[in-house]
Amino acid sequence: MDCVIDNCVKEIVEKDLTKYCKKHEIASINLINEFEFWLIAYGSDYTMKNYLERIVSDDDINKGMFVIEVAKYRIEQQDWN
Amino acid sequence: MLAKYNITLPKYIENEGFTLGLAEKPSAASKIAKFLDKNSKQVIIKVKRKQNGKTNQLPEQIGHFVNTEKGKMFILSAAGHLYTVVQEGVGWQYPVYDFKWSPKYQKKKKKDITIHDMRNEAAVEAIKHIANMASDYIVMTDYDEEGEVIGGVILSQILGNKILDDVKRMKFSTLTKNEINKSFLEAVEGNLMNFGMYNRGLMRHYLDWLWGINLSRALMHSLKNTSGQYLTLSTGRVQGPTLAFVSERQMKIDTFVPRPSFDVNLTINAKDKINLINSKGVLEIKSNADKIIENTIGQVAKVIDIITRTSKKNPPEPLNLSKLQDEAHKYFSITSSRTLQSAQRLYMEGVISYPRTSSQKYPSELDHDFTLSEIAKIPGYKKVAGEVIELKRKPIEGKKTDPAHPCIYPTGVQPKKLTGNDKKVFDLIVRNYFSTFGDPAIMENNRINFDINKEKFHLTGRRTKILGWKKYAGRFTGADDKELPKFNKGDNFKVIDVSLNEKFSKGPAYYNDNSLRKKMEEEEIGTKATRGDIISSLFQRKYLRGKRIEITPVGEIVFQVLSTYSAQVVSVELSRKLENMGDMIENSVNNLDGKFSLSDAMVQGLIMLHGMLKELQENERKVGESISTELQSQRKIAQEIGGCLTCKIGTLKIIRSTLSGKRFVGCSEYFNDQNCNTTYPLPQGGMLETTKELCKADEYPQVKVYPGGRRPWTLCLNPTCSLREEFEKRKKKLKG
Repeated sequence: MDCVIDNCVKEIVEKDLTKYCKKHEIASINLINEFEFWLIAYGSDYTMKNYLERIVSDDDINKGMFVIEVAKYRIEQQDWN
Repeated sequence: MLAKYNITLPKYIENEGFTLGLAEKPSAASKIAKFLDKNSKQVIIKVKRKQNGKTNQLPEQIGHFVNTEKGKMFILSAAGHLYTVVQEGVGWQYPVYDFKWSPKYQKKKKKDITIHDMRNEAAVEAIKHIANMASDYIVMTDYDEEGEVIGGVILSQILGNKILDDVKRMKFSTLTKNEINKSFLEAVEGNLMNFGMYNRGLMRHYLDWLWGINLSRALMHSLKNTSGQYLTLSTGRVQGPTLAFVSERQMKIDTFVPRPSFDVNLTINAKDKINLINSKGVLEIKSNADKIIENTIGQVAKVIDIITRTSKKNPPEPLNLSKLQDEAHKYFSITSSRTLQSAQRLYMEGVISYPRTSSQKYPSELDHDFTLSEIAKIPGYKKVAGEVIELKRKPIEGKKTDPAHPCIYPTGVQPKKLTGNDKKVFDLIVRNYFSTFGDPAIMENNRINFDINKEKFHLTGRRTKILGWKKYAGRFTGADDKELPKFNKGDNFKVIDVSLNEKFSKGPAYYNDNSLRKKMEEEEIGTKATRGDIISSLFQRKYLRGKRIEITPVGEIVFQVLSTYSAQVVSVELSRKLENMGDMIENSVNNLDGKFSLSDAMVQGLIMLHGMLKELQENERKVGESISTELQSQRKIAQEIGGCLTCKIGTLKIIRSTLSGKRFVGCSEYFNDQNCNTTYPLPQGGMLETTKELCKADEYPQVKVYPGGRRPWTLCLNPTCSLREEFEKRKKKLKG
């Protein structure tokens, strides 16, 4: 089965645990882990939605290509967990 | 039918007993000949090849006939390696363990033979002919591992291995008259080859060949046997781990998530507007930064402290190759391989010492006063060289040593007109040499502390108080001074602007040529002379691309497959182990440490290789399928340009017409329900690459075109795009 990200034709790493290929899975884990630091920085009112939208839309922030793709996918899926 | 060669020499050579001198390059041969005998005669050697009833004249070879006090000598030159390791027998099966040395030109197919190969052929045959007439032999190639292998292999292939016990060796670090004459006398008196270096070099050549050919074939066979596809794939002992560095870095870059932090920008109104630095540093919590802004806005900044400390900045250590490459990159952005090329040219001209060295020490016999006074004759250095002579001092040295060569230093020989990188690299070497004589520079570090409504801010600066070595260093002095304005304790200044500066961590940087070479050096893989070439070969294989080095899809496939099925191939440890075996051979031959022969190293190397090949063979199907699947997905990605703008359902793809053979962009829904017949024309020449970026003017998909030999350009698919019109206009203007 292919990774759920648009145009990614790589296979999912572990079907039962994730829906991403290896590289998108690492990007997804990094996104989740780093959110804690954003919460500390901006305060507890800061939401996952704010975070993902900022990652996708702010061109001045340097971020990985695979991270943007996962963030876009999560926004489309309205996955705010 | 085997070729026969007819070699014509002047009569006086045919009749005289002489020593054969073997130099590494024609220019070195000519210089050495002139230094040993200013009346040396240049001899043109004509080589004719007879084969299948045809006679061909090969390119002429130039030798030098030299009369010395110690007898007559005929100096010939190789052109680097004339022999190479090749497979014994034919076929592309694996594993292959049988190999032999063979002249390089014989490796080529007849149709691929170039003038360069014909020159090689002529050189091999000329040396063969003259070696058989000579009574003694002196190797005068560069004194390093490769130089030892070049000379040793040529003579042993022509005259047999035993001859090497009697072959004399000239050991020199500069192509200058004094050193050449001295090393010649030492050779005549019995200086022999360095068998430690020679055997180490042989080990590297044999094992690198065995690893390269077997592992590359293992990859290609896996692909061929599982999918029937043929693709040239390769890996090697140092190539594998180097590819791993780039792939791992790429992974970090692609999956990087930045972390926010906050800084307060605060400006005071002194004579000029001056920005102060928040003494709490960068803050992790935004509300803390907001509080500082609240406390300081519209307040007064009071100078509470002015602290001045002095520190010493020692002169730079003498240059070795690695440091020279670093500095050339730092000051001129010259890549490591180009720096080495320039340094090699300067060495061949005799103006600097041998550049492939790790040493930071000057030769003990170097007459610095003489060298400096000779440098003073070079335009632009007279004044500074004079000042350095006046110091009447010994230069400083670093800790690193090299058994074969001293550090890189100017010889005092006047260069001919230098241009481009050669000029820059030469200046760097001369200025570094001057600097090593200087005193430490004394730096004054200043810090002014401010209090703004109990919030602490500061300013820092530094200036050179006593120039010391910087006086002689030209532009190579490191960081510039940053002078602070004159403030007094108790001074008050109005805060005129305070703002929040939101920052994000930058993440890992791409490797460039220099940083990748440094990484290889840190991990102790490859040698100072080969690292640049290994990076170049990864580019040639199309595994890497760009100045900001990225791994290509093919490179990524090779890395992934190797790291999954035979992780040792891309591991640093194994490559490093081999380098250590080389050290053991060298120490053992030179009676420094235990007994470890070339055969021991070969056995150990082959055991390692066997293990890796077994892993790849056992997983041949998986390896082949992985490569094939990845290639298919890459092809699919490479063909897809983006969503169709007309039907909004299909995907735009690069298609080649079966009728006309021409390529164009068409919608994938053409044969499906939508019957979308959207097409866009494409240029028919050059390589195409899809790009995810849309056109800035009209948001149409774009493709990147790589026309052979010219700069790549981006094409918007929309034939009426305004940027495209502009491009056409510029093109016409250029043509006009």
